[in-house]
Order: sequence, then structure tokens, then C-alpha cells
Amino acid sequence: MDADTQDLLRSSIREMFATEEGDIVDGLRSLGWDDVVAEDPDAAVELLFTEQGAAGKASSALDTVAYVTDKGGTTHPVLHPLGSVSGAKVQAGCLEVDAVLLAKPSAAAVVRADDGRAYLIDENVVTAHASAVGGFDPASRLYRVKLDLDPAATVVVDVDWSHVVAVARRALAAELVGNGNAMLQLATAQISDRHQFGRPIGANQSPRHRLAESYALLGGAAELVRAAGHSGSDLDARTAKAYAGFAVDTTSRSCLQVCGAIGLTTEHVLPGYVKRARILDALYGGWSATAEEIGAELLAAAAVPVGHRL
Amino acid sequence: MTAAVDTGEILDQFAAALSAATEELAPLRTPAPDAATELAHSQALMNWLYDGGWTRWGWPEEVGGVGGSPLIRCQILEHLALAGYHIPDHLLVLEVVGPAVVQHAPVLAAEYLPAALRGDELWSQGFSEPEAGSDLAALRTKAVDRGDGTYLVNGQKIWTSYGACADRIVLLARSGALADRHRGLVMLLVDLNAPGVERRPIALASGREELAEVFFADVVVGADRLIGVDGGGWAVAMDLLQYERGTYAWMRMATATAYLQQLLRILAEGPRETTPRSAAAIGRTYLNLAALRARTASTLRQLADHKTVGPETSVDKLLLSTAEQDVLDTAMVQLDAEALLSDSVTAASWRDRWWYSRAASIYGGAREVQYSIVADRILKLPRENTHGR
Repeated sequence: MDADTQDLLRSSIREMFATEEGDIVDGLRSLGWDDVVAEDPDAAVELLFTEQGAAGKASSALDTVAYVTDKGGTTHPVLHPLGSVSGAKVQAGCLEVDAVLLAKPSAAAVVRADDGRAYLIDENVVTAHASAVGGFDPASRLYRVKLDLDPAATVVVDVDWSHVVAVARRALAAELVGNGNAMLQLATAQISDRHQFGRPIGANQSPRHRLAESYALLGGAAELVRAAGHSGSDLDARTAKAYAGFAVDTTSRSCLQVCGAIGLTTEHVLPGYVKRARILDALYGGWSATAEEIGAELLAAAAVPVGHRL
Repeated sequence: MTAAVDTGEILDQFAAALSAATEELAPLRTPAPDAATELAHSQALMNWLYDGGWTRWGWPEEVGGVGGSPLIRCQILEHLALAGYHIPDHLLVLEVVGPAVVQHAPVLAAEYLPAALRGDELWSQGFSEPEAGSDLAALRTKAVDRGDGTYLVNGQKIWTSYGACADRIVLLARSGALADRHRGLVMLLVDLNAPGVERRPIALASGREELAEVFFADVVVGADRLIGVDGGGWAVAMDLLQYERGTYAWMRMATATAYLQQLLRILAEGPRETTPRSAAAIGRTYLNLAALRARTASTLRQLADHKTVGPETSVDKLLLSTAEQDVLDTAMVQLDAEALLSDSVTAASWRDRWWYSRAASIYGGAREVQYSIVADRILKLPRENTHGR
């Protein structure tokens, strides 16, 4: 995708997020999004999700890149996991599902269980156990699907999870970067304008340094997203998502601090980004837990993974 | 060099050559007990790398290189570090000053760089002074144009890496008035065996004598040793600092990654079980290294494409000091009593590395200076003033 095409797409997507009240996926479809993804999936994912992050809005766009295709060629949405890579556990012959859908259920959905298998759950069952999420981020549009099921009542499908999970993590990492940079812009604007003690808050060293540190971390995260796109490796996608989660965590804390009390209210847009960021971090495993997992793997292998060639 | 070269193929060839030389180079993989031994190791490895053609990639033929992209050389050095070798000390300065000499003084570069690239000469970089650290433009060392084709240099440099034993120094001095700040500066290549040069090694807290003070008293330097134009020293210095954020940062990243690798091996040989605490520390360290590698790779690509990288490289510098300090902090905690109490060469070298990593957020513009650059020039926050706290 050349730079002009990217600019064009970016402004269309931005416009869509700014004007559309509902889920933007329909708008994306009419924009020919599926063709864009087919042509250059890495660039498409980075562009769309960075913009979604910047807009601070939820959509089911993740389903357009992270989905499951069964042997018959039919595609199914994924029941996305929070706090882990699996949305279900198999315990004592029972499939315990606790995962989210990005939109109101309207089809059968696939969940990855901790046994690594993919279970296709019937639409009626999913619908019966789905409830709209309020929680920490009522604007998340998520539907939580929580149910216990006999695995025999599902169809086990053959899925290359590593691909699905890697794409999802790259998309989420890009969205985190967009989200973090948006928070940073908000905070930068506010402390540039607001005066205390006869000078702008942003003329003081401490808030300046905190925001500069956030900027540096987000810069590192953006490069990791790009590198993960190039390599396509699972570890790189996991690393990008974890680092982006860490970067946005730091950014969120700094921005909330420098924006002061108003930044903690419904009168300020910052909390919307903060809420969204926590959901994004939790999807497919939070950064802190992921870092620990990666560390344990390195210790077990007694080696640092070899970096990809430039 | 003509036509396209296959980087992958070269890197494979290098890996094979290095592995074939495992026995020959074995002494160079052992930690050096002191700075002198380390420099001797460094020179031996420089010679081997140059004679094999490996470190000649990315340098123009006129200065002893074989052309091609500097990215090839960078990846060769990364492989070298991960194979258990100390990236030659000679390169730490050379990779920073070399490209600027090539660009701003091609004739000088052709005459003097080849010996430095082969490791037959050790170069140093004379920027910092007692009264000019992060505030480099306050430097006072004077270089007076005597009008007879020579400069007379007087003053003092400090924190000069390898200053006590280097053969030459890339010196930033003032040819104009102090009030001119960064406008009245000149960059010169000065021989450190010239009459009037005195040096005093400075021992780091670990005891390692790697840094030095260098004193200049009526040192005569030919005008043919100018790097760039008189009055343009600041521009050369800024150009040079880009490489400190590019190739130098890449080498430090490779070295820090090699340290993590060594730590993992040591832990694997030990009796301890993996605890969640050690896993968390190792995992975070890896994340910081990965971010640094991705970021630095992107900067290297821009430099290779002759793009000016500008204030954005402050990000690289910030990520570098975080990653480097993280690796060594993790190592010190994990190695525990052994690192604190043992007088073995290995334990001492971990302590050296730990102290050295503290410098990562001080040299080349302290962490706080990098924050200010990002805040001023990228985020465009209101400037800090004298009332700023």
C-alpha cells in the first residue's frame, strides 16, 4: 500500500469514527476494507487499529482480521479471551466458557479452550448466554458469554490458533499505541493551556518528563507493532502487545496525573481512553502476566530468542 | 562494491567463519581482568574482523571499506556479541565518529580511517569538559587559528573513553568566543602523542580505568586536521550524535542482549528453580530489549538511507538506557551473593557492567536532557523557564 493510499484510507477511517454513532464495520465494508486487508494485511491492520485507538472508540473491526475459517470454508467469529489466551477451560469433562464477543451475537462462534482446541458453539447457545457488558467500560460494546457446556454439544474445528492470536495481538497492540498517543495529545494540550502558579503546568519539569517518557515508550511500542507485522512471528506479536500494554499503562497513569481532578470526571474525554486501554490490555492476556510468561520461557530455554534479520 | 549483495548470505557466511574460528578466538571470549587486557582482546578481534572483510561492510572503499549497507556490519556485530564475544572497544568510538569524518573530511578519512578500522589505531572522542557535560555548547577548550595553517589547542577534556591509551582524539573545541555558544566551534582530529598532551586515567567506581581526563597545553594541530569547517563544529557534532543513537545504540543493544543470554545460561546451570519473580524480571528485561532493537533498527535504516533523524533519536537514547540498566539490575539481583561477594573475574565483570550501565543515562546527554528535547521539540510543551521546578 503506497503512502497516498494510506493517507486516503486514514482520513476516511478517521471521518467514519468521528461521524458514525454505531459500529463502523458496515462503513468499512462499503469502503472495500476486505480488499485492503487482502492486499496488504499488515499495513491495513496497523492503520485501522491505530486510528481506532486514536478515536477511543469500540467496534467489531477485530473480527474482520481475527476470525476462524472451518474446513468447509465458512468463517466464524471468535469468542475473544480476557486475561489469557484462552476463552474457555475444559474441566471435568465440562467446557467452561468466559469470553467476549465484539458485537451482539448473530452467529455460531468459536472459542479456544485451554486444551488448545477450538470449539464451535451453536448460535442459540451463544445468544442465550450472552449479556451486554457494562463494567469498567460501558462503551466497550462487548457481550460477555459465560456458560458451562458439554463439549459433545459443540463441534471441534481445526484452527491455526497461532495465526488468529498473532493477528489479534498485533491489532490490539496497534490500537493501544493509537490510544496512548491520543491520551498523550490530550494531556499535552491541557498542560500547555492551563496555568497554575503563574505559568503553564507544562512548563514544569516533572509533568514534561513524565509525558516525554510516555512518548518514548509509545515510540518503542509502535516499532514493535511494525516489526511484528513484518516477521509474522507469534512471539513478536506477543511482545508487541505486552510492551504496548506496558507503555499505555505508564502513559495512562501520567496523563491522569497531569490532567488533575477534571481528568477523573465524565466531563473530560481522558477517562474514556483509560477505560478502553484496560480492556485492550486484558484481551488476549495483560502485559504484566505476558511478560512473566515470556520470562519463564526464556529461563526454560536458557536463551534469548534470535532477533529477525533487518 | 557493485550490484546488490545478499545480506542473508553474508550473515550466514559470517556465522560459519566465526564458528570455524571458535578455537582460534577462544581467549577473546573470556572476560578480561583489566582495561589493558580488554583493549588487547579488542585489537585482536578488530584485526580478525577487518581481515576477514566483515567490519568493512558499509564503509566506502576510499576509507578501507567494501561498500554495501552499514546494516550488514551492524548485524555481523550483533551475531558476534551473541556468540559470546565482547564487541571490540575500538568500535564503540569509531562507529560514532567514523561516519562524520567520512562525510565532513573525506581526505582525512581516506588517510587515517583505514588504520582505525583495522584496529591498529584506537580513536577517542573529546567532547565533555568539567564545565560542559550535558550542556556541551558551554565548552571552553580553545583552538586558535594562528594563520599559518595551524591551530593552537589549550584546555581540558574529561570522561574521555579510552582517553588514556587512545592514539587520536576527535576533538570539539572553541575557535570563536564563549558567548557564541554553539556557533564558534571547530572539530579537529588530534594526535594524542603530540607535545603538550597530558592524560590522567579516571577509575570508575568498579575500579576499571576506562575513562580519562585529557589536558591540552599549547598543542599544535595542522589545519588539514579539520573535520568540517571552522565554525561548523556543532553541526559535525550533531551529525555524529545521530550515529551514537544509531550504530552505537545498536552495539549496546547487542551487548545487553548477550548479557541477558549469559545470565540465562548461568541460571540454567545453577540449582535454583524459576520463580515468578525472576520470570517477571527476565520478561520485562526482554520486552525492553525488544523495543530497543526494533526502534534502533528503524533508526539504522533511516541513517542508511541518508535521512536526518533529528530529535526523535532522543527516544532511542531513552530506550537504550532503560534496557541496559534493566538487564544489569536483573543480573545483579539474580546472581545475588555471588555478584556481591566473589572476587572471581566473572563476578567482577558483572559489577563492571553494572557500573557501566549506570553511565548509559548520563553520557551523550543525560536522561533529563533527552526528556527536555522530547518535551520541547516533539511534544512542543511550554518551555521550562528559570521558575520551572
